[in-house]
Parts: sequence; structure tokens; C-alpha cells
Amino acid sequence: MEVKLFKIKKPNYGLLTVVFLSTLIIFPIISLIFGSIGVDISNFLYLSEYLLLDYTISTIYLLSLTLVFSFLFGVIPAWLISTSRFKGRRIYDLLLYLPLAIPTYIMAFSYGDILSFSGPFQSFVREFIPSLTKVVNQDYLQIEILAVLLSFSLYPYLYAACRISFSLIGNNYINLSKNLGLNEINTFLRVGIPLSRPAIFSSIFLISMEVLNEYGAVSYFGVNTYTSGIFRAWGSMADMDTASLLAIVLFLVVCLFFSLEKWLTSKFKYSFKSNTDLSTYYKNSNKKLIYTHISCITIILAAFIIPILYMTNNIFIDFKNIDFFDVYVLSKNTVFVSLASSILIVLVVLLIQYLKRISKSKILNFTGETISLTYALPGAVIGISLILLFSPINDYFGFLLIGSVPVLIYAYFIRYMAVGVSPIVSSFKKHPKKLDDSGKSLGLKPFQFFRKIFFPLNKNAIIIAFCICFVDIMKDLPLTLILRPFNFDTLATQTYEYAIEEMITKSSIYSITIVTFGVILLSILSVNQSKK
Amino acid sequence: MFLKINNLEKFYKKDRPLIKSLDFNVNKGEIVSFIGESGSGKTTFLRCLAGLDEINDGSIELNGKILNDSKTFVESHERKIGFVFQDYPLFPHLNVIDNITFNLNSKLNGKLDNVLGLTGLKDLTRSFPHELSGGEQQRVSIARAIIRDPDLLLLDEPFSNLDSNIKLQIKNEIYSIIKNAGITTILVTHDVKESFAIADKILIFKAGVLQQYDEPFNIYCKPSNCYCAKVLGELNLLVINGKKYYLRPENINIVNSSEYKGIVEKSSFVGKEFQISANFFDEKWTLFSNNSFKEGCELSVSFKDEDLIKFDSNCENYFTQPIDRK
Amino acid sequence: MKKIISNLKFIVFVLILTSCQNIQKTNEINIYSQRHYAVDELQYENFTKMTGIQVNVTKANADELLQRMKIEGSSSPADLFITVDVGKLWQAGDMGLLQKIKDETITAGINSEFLDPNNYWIPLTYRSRIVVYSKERVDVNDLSTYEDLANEKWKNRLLIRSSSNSYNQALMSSLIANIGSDVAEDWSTKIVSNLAREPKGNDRDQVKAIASGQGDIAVVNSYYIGLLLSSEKEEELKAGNSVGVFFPNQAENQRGAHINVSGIALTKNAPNKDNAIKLISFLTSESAQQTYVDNTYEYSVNSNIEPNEIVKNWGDFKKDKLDLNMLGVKRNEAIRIFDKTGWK
Repeated sequence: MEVKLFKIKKPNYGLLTVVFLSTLIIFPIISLIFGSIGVDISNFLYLSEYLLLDYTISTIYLLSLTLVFSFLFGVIPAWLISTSRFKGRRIYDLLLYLPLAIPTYIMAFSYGDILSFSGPFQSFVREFIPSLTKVVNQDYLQIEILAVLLSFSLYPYLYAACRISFSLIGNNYINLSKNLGLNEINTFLRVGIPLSRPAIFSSIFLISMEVLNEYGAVSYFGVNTYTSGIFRAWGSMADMDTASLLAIVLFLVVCLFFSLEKWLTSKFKYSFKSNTDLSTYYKNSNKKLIYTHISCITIILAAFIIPILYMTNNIFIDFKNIDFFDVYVLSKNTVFVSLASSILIVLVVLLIQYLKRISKSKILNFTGETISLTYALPGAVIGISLILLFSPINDYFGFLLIGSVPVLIYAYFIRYMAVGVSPIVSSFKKHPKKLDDSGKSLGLKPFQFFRKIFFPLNKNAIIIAFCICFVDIMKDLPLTLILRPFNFDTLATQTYEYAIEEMITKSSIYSITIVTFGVILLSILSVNQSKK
Repeated sequence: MFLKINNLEKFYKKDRPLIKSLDFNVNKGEIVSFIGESGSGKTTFLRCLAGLDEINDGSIELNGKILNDSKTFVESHERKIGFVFQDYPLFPHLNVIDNITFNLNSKLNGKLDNVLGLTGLKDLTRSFPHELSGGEQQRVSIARAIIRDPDLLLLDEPFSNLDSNIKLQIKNEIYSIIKNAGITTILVTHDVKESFAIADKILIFKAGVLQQYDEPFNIYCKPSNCYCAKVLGELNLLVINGKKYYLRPENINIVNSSEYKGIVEKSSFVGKEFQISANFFDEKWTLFSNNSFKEGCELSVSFKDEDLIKFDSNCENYFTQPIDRK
Repeated sequence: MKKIISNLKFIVFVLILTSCQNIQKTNEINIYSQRHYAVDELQYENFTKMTGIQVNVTKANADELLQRMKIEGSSSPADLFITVDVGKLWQAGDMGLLQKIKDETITAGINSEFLDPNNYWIPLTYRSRIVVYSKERVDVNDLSTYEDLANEKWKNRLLIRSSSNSYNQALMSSLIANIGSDVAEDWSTKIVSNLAREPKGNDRDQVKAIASGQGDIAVVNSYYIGLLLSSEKEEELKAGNSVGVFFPNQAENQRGAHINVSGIALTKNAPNKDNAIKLISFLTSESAQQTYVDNTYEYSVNSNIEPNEIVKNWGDFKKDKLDLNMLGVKRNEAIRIFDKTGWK
């Protein structure tokens, strides 16, 4: 009887729950899609004629470059650190996560200033190496440099995913590839990377979405991406309908790529048998060691230390004007909303993935993955779609939901779902199905099974999902700007407000507070991981 | 000699050597069964051969080339050694053909067909690993190893993960694959019965020390110590005039009456005959008979003197230090 | 696990509590604002001290706020809408989101040339879009009008930021209104061909680009030059001081330099209308106007209030007398000209 309950009745409840949750997540998008039926498309046609091709080309160029650089900064160090043991390894491992705490627009504005004519870099050269003055006096606001800067703050997604995946591949495959005649570089290229394909894909997906949705840094560098098109329709042409139409087109394109990858990998199953520390499996030649140190130090210096030093210097310059009480209040706001939203996300992701796991329903399989696609929509568009959704409630009850904390959290929940999904999904996938059967055979009820087997096994992934969600929500701008309650600022909004008013010096205290929180969380994450 | 292992020593912690001065040779085309208990260092030995670990002393020489000694260490990917790992990992993202030809250039069409035929994988070439049964995965692993024409093939407990009902069939298949391919092979196992059928020679390994290395028949009949004798089959202890002798169960005949009498404790049907446990001179013996005997009934037995096995005092158990066999 | 669940309960409880706080209180005003300067908070604080009315602000981009007001319709909590670009105020009026303010006491102190003929919005401050030039490489006598920036002599010497920037859009709108769209389009084409580099960066970056020699003249907002010249960073000051400030179209028969106002408007369904009017009167009062110029590099709309020292040094200038609503009316046309002529 017990067994029957488990098999037949429970998944139906599960199905209902998941359908309900996914509806909550997808509803704004659906309302947006229906809202855009029958709109006036003259502006859409106009944009397609004059701008979209250009915008699309530069988007693809920027995206490809960013991915290449993220790959260089993320995957290679992840391999070097996973497969060898050397002095300073743990420090590097920690530091390599940290640039994730620096929002992309802060990275771009900071380096824009650092590299500018009056910035520290050129001033230094003028002062001490006058012969190079002409060489370094360049226009640094170039799309290629933008790609490097974006990947500075986005590569940790890849790094984190690959670190986990590489250490899960296990010695079996490393031994095997050695035996089959592969040297380390070939093992990396032909075994490490293909076997980490799900992890790499999910982080590439996140990075791509971030790049597609980036607006502040991109417009500062004078690069017009597809999102610029959305904002041009909305802001300059005052045509929200066209903007949502463009967003939906982007959304559909992303869906297409997403399904393509899913379809391509559906033939493979990536569950590995062993889980061993690889760090002793390759000998450290001096050459490799030097290369490892140089690459790690360069990345950490450029992506983390330099921006931090720059911000710290700004804080000293502007110290007398800093309102520390304000910093405290904004920190409190930021931590509160980030904490609530990331807990919510982790719980819902766990629930959905777990229900998906114990039932064999096709619908569940489908929804589990698609909900993360909401990440493809620009935050501002999600914000508007939520206002659209909630304004009838406002009208009806005379009760202000828009501009309340719950709706803001709901918005974060929708938008940052994807960030929480990927570590938990890849961790779930790594555990063989046999485990489920053994749990069942031990007579555990679903919740017990979750608590006793799934929770401990995936604890690490859960912590990672939580930390990354928290850091991402803390950095969020577009949703916070449009949906926040009255008189409610976060560290990110304050940073942004100063930065776009060209007062980057004043913004530094707020951005460094973001970074500090991020660093604390990511350190916990990193320490937790190296304990394993 | 094709493979020469000279005084090989291996430890992870110096005070706890895993392999103490291992010394043996293998001829070309021979199948050697390397028998030892779980955790005795068998896998470590294979890893040393394959170049996944470095040895601490001695040397490994294959086909006239030093692979590893105090000066040389040939990297794993440069050795021509095929390794079929214990749980035969296959790359999950590659199909059967791509797994087999992984890291090989494409000029091996004829050979591929041959190997696929040999391993009976012709109909499965486009399948992915998770679609294969354990036995099929096993054959892919072996095909992947032998298509490279290795000088030496290493099999690490190749049958341990298989269901017992298909084990026998697969064992025979694999034996014939290897024999037909004529590859020098070292097969690591803890199961003696696997070895009798397949191996040209058996190497018994215990406590980091080679106990005996010989043809199966010789080991069975002339075990070098008590441990080896026990590994290859059951032994009954018989003390005559204070001296210890051992008897194989199949060399004991049940007779109507003799000076050797014992009490039956249990008799159980094991197929074509009954296995009988009985108490002789306060020792528990095992013997076989065509008839069943009731518990408590008296039994007389006889045997030939030449079947009595006797060890030196230092062979009572097993060697703890390498013996000088020169 | 129990712990987690009890924590959850707590969070849900807190969420419900916080959402309840949003039920309207009486003595307050709600503002949707595009302005996010420290001076604004100071003004609101002073206002609350004076009147006891609490000021609630949501700061976001003008377009998002407009959209939000539109969707919220009659249930919108917003009483006031503040922007830094008058074009957005016109747009709000055009979308039917505003109500007229006819209050002599408010408009009395304001220089009439800044006032909305339709009474939909009240100006608070203004700034001008000016030309800065390299003191080293440009003879100030070569500069004259916005139209003249299209002259071949500025080929590869002119710097200006992207056409997505609303100040550029406002400038283009004023040109369309003043000289007609055909001439404006021709002007835009020539400007693009004169550019020293693709449009990028913010206004400060245009000045830095002059300092670094990438270009010789730039079109920037007076406000940002003020910011740059008060920078605490020595190198930025140097860059700021290496350029001169020039107000275009100042000659006798010319219309004057382009200006844009930062303004405030009363929403159609303002729930706290009386309080809102009080705040508008306060912000346009001489003391509040003085607070603006003391803390920012904007110009006061009250002719009696002198600007900040740095700004004052640039001297007085003739302002374009165009109906400021034109900066919104012509906006869409301006965008199309930008796109057509390849101004990125």
C-alpha cells in the first residue's frame, strides 16, 4: 500500500504543485505575449529596416568575444586548479570566484575611468614612462575591451561550474584518457570539456543572458546590442508595445537555442561513477606551474584587485562626504530582499527538481528546464509585465501591490530562477538513478527520502545556488528600479544613480559594499567546496 | 622475455610497502592471472605497469624497452599498454565506434571491422554507453584496448561487476577474444576459478609478496606454501606423528573400513555429487561422495600417500618477505 | 529542517507585514522621479521639516515610470512626476497622465521663458547643451553655432555621445523645431562625417577625449562640466581645465543656446493633490532654488538666483526661446533622423 501511494498518488500532487509554480513563473511572459498580439508594428518594421541588423551583428560579435574570453578566464584555470596541487592553490581558488561580486556596469565604468586620459593608468605612464605616452593614449571604449570587461565579471559562472564538473569527472576518465594516449592538454580538450558539457552549457547560457540584458555598460561603450533596440523603441520612440515585441522575439530565439542544445544532448547521459580529487593525477612540471601562476595571478589582478583598488582609492578621496548611516540602511535593504528571494528560489528549484526526479512525468521534465528561460527577458520588460499583471489587483482592492516588497521579491524570483536552477540541476544529474531506487527500497517516503538522501547529497549545490542567487539579486538594477517601494534604495540602485550621473567616485562606497557582501558569500561557498 | 618486472617496489607511505620487491617475467602471448585479495595492491601494480603511478624501486621492461626504473619514466600516454578498468568507464558522450576509436587516426578500417567482429559489437556501433548492458560495455572496453595493438593488455577485475548468470559466457567470450588476438595479458582477479580456465600462468600475491608463479596445474599440485594451496582449493589437515600433511578433498576415497574414521556433520547436494563435512581427528574435513550420509554416522576413508601435501616449516602460512628463487 | 520551516514562516510573516505598510497614509506625497541627486533628498527633508508632510520617492528611468503610471491608471499612487528632460514631461502630458497647474504664486517667481504654455508642468532647474573646445588647438573665434558644427573644418575633430542619450535627442528636436527637419537631417549627416570617433562614453568622457587629443571640440551638458571642474581628482581637474566653455548661437540675430529643464508635474489622479502643490511651491521658492544652485551645477529658473561659482564663471548667455514642449513633440522625428543618418 505504501509503495502504491508513492508511485501513483504523490506525483499527481507533485504535478499540480509544479504546474502551479511554473505558471507563477511563466505567467508574466504569457501575458506579455498575449498583450503583444495585434499591436501596431510600424515601429517594429522601422527598427528592423534601420537598426536591427546592425544591432544583431554587434550583439553576436560582443557575445562571441565575451564567451571566448570567459572561456579563457574560467575554464582553463578551473582545469589547472582541479588537476594539480601546488602552493597557493586554495587562495587562487577562492579569489577566482570573487569578480562575480562586481556588477558588470561597475566593471565597465571603473575601467572606463581607469583607462581614460585622466585615469591612473595613463597618468602613471605620462609621469614615469613618458616615452610610452603616445602608445597608451588610445580610445579604450572599444567593443573588444568591453567584451574583456564583461567576461571579467561573468567568467566566474564558468569557473564555478567547471570546478565542480572537473572534480566530479573523477580519476576513472583521467586514467582512461592517459591510457588511451592523451597528454594533459588533450585530456582537457577531449575528455574534460566534453564530459563537462552540461555544466559549460548552463553557464554559457547564464553568461549569454547577462550579456544580452546588459544595458549600462554596453551603452557607455557606444555598442548597440539588441537590447539597445528594445530600449530605443521604449525610451526614445515611446513605444512600449514594440519594445515588448522585440523582447519576445529575443525570448523565442533564446528558446530555440536552448531547445537545440537540449535536443543535441538528449542522447547522452552524464552520470559519473566516481568522485575523486584529481589534484594528484598530474605531475607539476615547472613549465606548467609557471603558466598556472601567471594565468591565475593575471586574471585575479585584472578582474578583481585592480577594480577594488580603484574603488578603495575613490572612497579615500571622497571619504568626508560619505554618509555611513545611508550605507548601513541600504545594506540592510539589499540583504533583506536578496536573502528572502534567494531562499525562495532555492526552495522552489529544489521542490520542482525533486518532484521531477521522483515522478516520470513528461510535463515535469519540460517545465523543470523551461522556467529558467525567463532569464532571457530583459529585467525592465519583466518589471513592466508584472506591473501589467498586478495593476488590476491594485484597482480592485485599492491595495498597493506594485511597489511592495513581496512583488519585488516575486520579480527577483522570476528573473533569477535560472541562476538557481543550473547548479542544482547539474548536481541532481550527477547522481545516478539507482540512488532513487535504493531509497525507495529502503521504504523512505518522499519527504524522508529528500531529507535523508537528496538534501545531504546535494547540499553543496544548494549552497552554491543560494550564494550565486544572492550575489546576482544584490546586483540587480532594472527590476529594483521599477518595482521597488517608495523610499527604498538598494546598494545597486544607489551605485547606478551616481554612476550614470558621472559621479563614479561617489558611487564607490556603495559598489564596494556590494562587493564585500559578495566576497563574504563567495568565500563561504569556496571554503565549503574545498572541504570536500 | 617480453615483460620483465625486476625487484619492483611500491609504497605510498614508506613504512607500509604495498609491493615488496616483485620479480617475474611474462612471455609473449601469455595470459597471466594475478591473484590476490581485495586491497592487496593488485590494482596498484597494474597502475604502475600502465604508468599511472611511478614505482619506487626496481624496473619494468616491456618488449626490450625500459618503461620505468630509477632514471626513466615513460608517461602513460606513451606506453603501448591497453588497460581495461574495473568498471570499464566509457565516454558517455560518444557512441560505441567513437569510444573504440577514441584518439586513433582513421586509417584502421579493416582492423576496426576485425575487432568489432571479434568482440561481437557489429550491431551496436551507433549505440551510446547508457544503452548497453554491462557485458556489452565490457566488450567495448576490451575492443577499445585491443584495437590499439597493445604490447600488453591489463584487465582489472573484469568480471566483478557482471551478473553471475552471464559471467561464465562473457568470461569465455573474452578469453577467446584475447587468445585469438594473441595479446600478452595480465588479468587481475581475486577469484581463482576465473583463472584456471583462462590463464597460462598464475601469480599468487599476498602481503606485498609474490607467493608463487607457475602454471595452474603445478600450483594446484605443488603449492609453495599453505596459503597458495588454500587459495586454489580446499585442504584437509591431517597430523601424522606430529607432522602436518594436507589432503585435497577429491583425493579422498570413501571406503567400507580403514584406520581413518570420522563423524559426518553435514552432507549437501552440490550438483553431480554430495559435499560432505565431517570431523576427523578434531579437524573439519571436506570430501565428496556420490551418496548422501546421515548426520552423525561414521565414515571411513583412504588416500594415496603421494597425494599428501607437506610444507617446510617456513611455508606453513605464507611468505612475508620475498623469497630468493634463484 | 524544522528550523528551515520555522525560518520560512518568519519570512512570510515579515513579507505580509511589509506589504501592509503600503496602505496609504494621509499626510504624505508620492513622487515618481527621474532625478536622483543628493540635493533632492535635502529639499524633501527641508520640506518635511517645514510642513510635516512625508515625502515618498520612487526613482527610476523616466520611460519606465511613464509606463508604470500609464498601466496603474487611476489607482496610481503617484502625485508628482519629476524628470531631468522636459521632453518626458511633455510626453506624460501627451499620454494624458497629468493635470494642469494654474497657480500664480508658483509661477510668479519663475522666469516666464521656461514656463509651459499648457500649464502641465513646472520647471525647477535648467541646463544648457554647450560646446567645449581644446584651449590648445582651437581658436574660440572659429566657434559660432550648432549649425556650424557641420562645417568641414571640424572633420575628425568633433566629439559627441550616442543618439540614445536624451540630451542629444532634445538638441536634435530643438534643431528640427528651429530650422526644419530637412536641414536638420542634412546637419546630422555632416555631424556624423565630422565625428572624431564613434559616439560613446558619457559627457565627461568627451572632455577627456579632447584632453587626450582624440578630438578638438565636443557637445556636452553644462552640468557635467561643472561636475568635472569640481572633481577631487587632480588629473580630472587638469582635463577639465584644458577645455574652454562656449555657448553657441549667441550672436545678435541668432536664437541662443539650447536649454533643457528639469521639471515637475502633477499627475492626473494625484491622491494627495494639496500636499503636492505645496511641494511644488516649496521647490520653486527662492530658498529651495538657492539650495539647488548651492549643491549642483544647474541653473535656477528664478532669475534672481545666481548659479554656482564655477558655472557663473562661464558668464551669462542667451537662451533659445523655443517652446520647450517642442523637445518632446519633435522627439520621434529626431530619432528617425539619427537612425537615417547613421548617428549611433
